[in-house]
Amino acid sequence: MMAIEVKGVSYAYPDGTPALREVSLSIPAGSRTAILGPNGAGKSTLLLHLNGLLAPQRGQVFVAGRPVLGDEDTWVRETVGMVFQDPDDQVFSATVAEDVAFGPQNMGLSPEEVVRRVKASLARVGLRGYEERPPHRLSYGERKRVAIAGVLAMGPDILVLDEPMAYLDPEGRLRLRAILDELSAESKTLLVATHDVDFAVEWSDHVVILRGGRVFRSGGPEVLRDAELLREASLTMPTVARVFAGFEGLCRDRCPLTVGEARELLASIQTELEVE
Amino acid sequence: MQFLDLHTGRDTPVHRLDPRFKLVTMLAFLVVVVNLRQPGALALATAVICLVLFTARIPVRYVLARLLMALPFTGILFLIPFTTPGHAALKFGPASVSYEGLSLALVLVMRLGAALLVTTALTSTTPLTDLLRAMASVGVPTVFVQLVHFTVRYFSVLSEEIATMRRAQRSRGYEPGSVLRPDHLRAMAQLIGMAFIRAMERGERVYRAMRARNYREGLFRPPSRRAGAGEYAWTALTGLVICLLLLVDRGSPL
Ligand SMILES: Nc1ncnc2c1ncn2[C@@H]1O[C@H](COP(=O)(O)OP(=O)(O)OP(=O)(O)O)[C@@H](O)[C@H]1O
Ligand SMILES: [Mg+2]
Repeated sequence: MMAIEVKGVSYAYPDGTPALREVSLSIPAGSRTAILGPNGAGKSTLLLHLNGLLAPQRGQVFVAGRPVLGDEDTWVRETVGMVFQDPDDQVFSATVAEDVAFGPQNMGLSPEEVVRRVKASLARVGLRGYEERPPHRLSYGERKRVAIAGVLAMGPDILVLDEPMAYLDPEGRLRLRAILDELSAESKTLLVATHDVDFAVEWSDHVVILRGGRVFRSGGPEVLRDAELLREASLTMPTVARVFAGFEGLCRDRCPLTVGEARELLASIQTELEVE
Repeated sequence: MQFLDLHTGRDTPVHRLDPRFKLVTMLAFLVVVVNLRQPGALALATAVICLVLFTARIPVRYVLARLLMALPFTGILFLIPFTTPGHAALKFGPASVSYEGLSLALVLVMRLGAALLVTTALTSTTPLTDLLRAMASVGVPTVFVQLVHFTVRYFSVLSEEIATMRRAQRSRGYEPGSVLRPDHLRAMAQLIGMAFIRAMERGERVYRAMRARNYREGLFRPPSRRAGAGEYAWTALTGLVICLLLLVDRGSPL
C-alpha cells in the first residue's frame, strides 16, 4: 500500500522559478523516507504539495489512494501532518496548550477530546507541564517540539518534516531522533527533507535525491554509497563512508555506511587480530 | 516587551479576579478618570489605584518605570501654561504663564498619570493571554485581538531579525552614524525595507502553517473560569468608587 504517490508533478512559483519538474515518486506506508538534495533542489516545494498547501500545475498527488485537490481539502491535512522548518512560523499561539489545541479544534473535536489530545501529544514530545508557557519564552528546541506536538495532536498517519534537525543542539537532535523512532514504531509513515546525509543513512529505509526540481535518484540508503552520484547531486559522502574510502580491503562484502556497521566491522577485525 | 507578564504570576486577590470583570471595570474606571476635571477628584482616583497596586503587591519601582516610559509623550504638556490665555502668573521676558494654563496642565498631567496607573494595574495583574481571551469574550472584534496577540508573539522574533541584519551591516564595516550622510541614510533605508519584507514573508509562512492545520475562524476560547462573589463585590466597589469620584468632581454622581 502506498501512503503517498506523486505522479508527474510540475510546479513553478508565481515569479516563474521552476521548482519541480515532472516529479514522480511513491512512498510506501510505514516507511522512513529521507528527501535529500542541495539548496534550491525543490524539497520544501515538494513537501508543500503533499498536503495540498500548493496545488500542482501539472500532474497529481495521491494520499492513501485519494487525489489531493488543493486548498479545500481538509481531510488531507488530517492525514498528512506538516512540521515546518522554523517553529516560529508554526507555533503562533499565546500558550503552548493553545497552540497544540489549534489543530484538533479546527477538526471540530469536542473540548474533552481536544484536552486529551493536547496532554497526550505534549507527553510524547517530553513537554509535560509546559501547557501554560508562552512559546516566545521557550528555547528553540522546545518550540520545535511544540510544533511537532501540534501536528501529532491531529493524529496524522503520515508525518512530513522539513529540515527537522536544523539549528538543534546535539541533545535536541537525539531527542528528536527518539521521537521519530517512536512514531516509526507506531507504523506512521515519515518523510524528512534534509541535507544531512549522515542522518539519512542512519535513520531512513528509503532515500529520494532531488536535484534541480527533478528526482535524481531514489532507492534504499545504499544509494548513498555512490560517491560519483553524491558529487553530482552536490551532497557530501556519509562520514563513515568517507572514513572507509580507500580501505576497501578491510571491508567484508561491502564497506559500512552507518556508525553501527562500522563498529561491527571493527569489532570483527579486532577479534581476528586477537586470534592471530 | 520584556516587561510584559513580569508580575502577573503573583497570587493576590487582584490577580485572582476573573480577567473579564477586571477588564470591564478597569476600562470603565479609565473612562471616568480621563474625564475628571478637578485635581482633588483626580488625586482621590490616583489614591484608589495605588491602593489596588499595593494590594496586588506590584513593586513601586516597576510602577515608576512604567510611568517613566510615558515621559517623552508629556513634552507637549509643558507648552500649555504658555499658550493658554488668562491671568498671568509668571513672566519670562515676552512669554507669560497663565493661571488657567497651569491648572489645565496640572489636570492633564494628573489624568495621564492616573490613566497609566490604571492600565499598569490591569496589565501587571493579568497575564496577557488571559487579557486577550477576556477581550475576545467581552466582544472586542477578533481581528483586533489577533492583531495585539501577533504583535506580542512576533515582536521578539522580528526585533531579533533586525538585530541580526544590523550586526551583518556592522560586520562589513558599516558604522551607524549620522542619518544626514547619504550612504548612512541608504543603509538605514535598506534595513527598514528589508525588515518590512521579512515581516511580510513571515506573515505568509505563518498563515501557510496555520492552513496546514486546517485553520478556520475563531482562535480564542473564552475563559472557563466562572464569576463568583469576589467578582461581584469588586464590580460593586468599582461602581461605588466611580460614583464617589463623580460626586467630588461634578457635585453629582451623573
Ligand atoms: N516563494 C517563492 N517564490 C519564488 N521562488 C521560490 C519560492 N520558494 C522557493 N523558490 C525557488 O524554488 C526553488 C526550490 O526551492 P525549495 O525551497 O523547494 O528548495 P529546497 O530544496 O527546500 O532548498 P533548501 O534546502 O534551501 O531549503 C528554488 O530555486 C527557490 O529559489
Ligand atoms: Mg527547504
